[in-house]
Amino acid sequence: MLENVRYRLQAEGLTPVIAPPAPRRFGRVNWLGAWTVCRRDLQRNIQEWSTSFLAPALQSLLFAVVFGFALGGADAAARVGDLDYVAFLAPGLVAYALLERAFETTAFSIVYDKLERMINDIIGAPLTPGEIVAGYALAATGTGMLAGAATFLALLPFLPGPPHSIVATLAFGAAGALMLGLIGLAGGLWAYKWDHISGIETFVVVPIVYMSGVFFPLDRLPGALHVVATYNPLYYVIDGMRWGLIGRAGTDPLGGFAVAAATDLALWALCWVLFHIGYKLKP
Amino acid sequence: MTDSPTPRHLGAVNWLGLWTLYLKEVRRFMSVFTQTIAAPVVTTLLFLAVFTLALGRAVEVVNGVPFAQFLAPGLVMMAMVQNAFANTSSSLVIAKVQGNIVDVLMPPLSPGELTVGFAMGGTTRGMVVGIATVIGMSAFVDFSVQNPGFALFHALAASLMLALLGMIGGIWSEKFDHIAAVTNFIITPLAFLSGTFYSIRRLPEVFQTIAHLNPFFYMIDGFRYGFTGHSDTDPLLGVAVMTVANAVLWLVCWRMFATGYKLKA
Repeated sequence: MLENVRYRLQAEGLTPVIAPPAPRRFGRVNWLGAWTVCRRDLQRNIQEWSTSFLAPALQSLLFAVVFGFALGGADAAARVGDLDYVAFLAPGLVAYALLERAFETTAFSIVYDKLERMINDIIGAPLTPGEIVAGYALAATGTGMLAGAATFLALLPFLPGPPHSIVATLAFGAAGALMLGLIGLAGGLWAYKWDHISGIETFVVVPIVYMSGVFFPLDRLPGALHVVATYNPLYYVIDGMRWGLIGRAGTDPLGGFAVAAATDLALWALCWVLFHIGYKLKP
Repeated sequence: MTDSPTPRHLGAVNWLGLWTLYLKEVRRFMSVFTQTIAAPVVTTLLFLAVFTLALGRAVEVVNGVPFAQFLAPGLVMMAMVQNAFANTSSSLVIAKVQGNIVDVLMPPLSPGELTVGFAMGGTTRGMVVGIATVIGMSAFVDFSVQNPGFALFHALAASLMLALLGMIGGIWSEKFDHIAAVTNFIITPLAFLSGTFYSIRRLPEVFQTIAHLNPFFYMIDGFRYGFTGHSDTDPLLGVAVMTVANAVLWLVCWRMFATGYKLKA
């Protein structure tokens, strides 16, 4: 149809004039651009909901059941303080699912984008480093929190009651998911093949999360490890989520949140610098 | 007159082709050994640490065996079966998605040879991972072997069974999502709920009955019997169940390759 019009115009000796589109204008922040980066990862995870949300929920449920069975009636001896072991474990598993999913969201997204060269579409778009970091990191935060919510629902039978403080749970959940999202982003920028990023996950992230109070109170770690573990910001996140969900904590929640927020800020700055200098992205 | 190559003559079995397929399957996982061998060793050690730190105080002995010694064979078995399954399933799904499955289907390999080649590759991965995890854990746990025959039989039978299941899953799957779902929603729960971490004697009656219907239970129980000398059920029954299960799965795989189910148009 359009072609016909053009031929007819040319036959009459006329040339159609097509006006170039006016440059898009945006204010100080390219909100649409940052949201597009974020939405892409969110949609990807929601589309694959069975892998993104159902699988971590089921995995956590399996852990809760298996630990319960493994106790085999020795519940009294396994108590943490005056808390049943499985009640202690359940909030840790919610935190674990949330943290792992947040890491995977940015880590795999950025490595995939790099390997498939789609990263050029993001580097080439009118996005500042801050907007790119925000786009990726917020998608990870959202995905992590959805995975945490799914796990929370799956573990309801093991939790002693409704959340002690919804605000604290959400605040620590968001801080933790953001933390792992940013770690995944930095790790994904460093990695240049799948081996590297899955190596970071298997050999660094998962061991650290496992040893941060998901499964047992830190004082069960032998001496030196115990001291090292208390310097780990993830410990404060997991402990804070446990406080939010069941009202028990080994640390002061406010102080813990300050540690988590400061860590997030430092990681955000790191990611900002990496995108700013184009680390492993620009020649 | 040019010398046209004479057609290669194969005997009853294409040994060279079979060996080539097997080597391909083994090299595929050896070239990424950090992901395929080192990763399961680290994960298994983490599980050992987590379970002993979380429950070690409360659960000192299981069926007369110290908790860590009870747990270790279960963890080894879990790593073996997960990796044997991953080897064949990922190999087939990747080949199907990328289209290079034709390179396996076109050569003069019979369905039986294909089944053997893939299954042996997966079994080898399972055994290598099993040996690596035993070595890794022996720094922390005392692995005394009471009945080496049972341990070896169940290690081989379980790796083979999961390699065959992985082939069935891989052939059935049309994309990565499908095989991920099989792994997440079938294989992992079966591996977790089959007595890897606990003795099923401690379960309520109903769960005990269910556990006895799960072939994964027999392989873990039999393997553990090989190490600790204690089992939840008759070890010979386990040998029978594993033999029958493997024979059935073998026939299913053979049939899938023979009919070209989801492989040939």
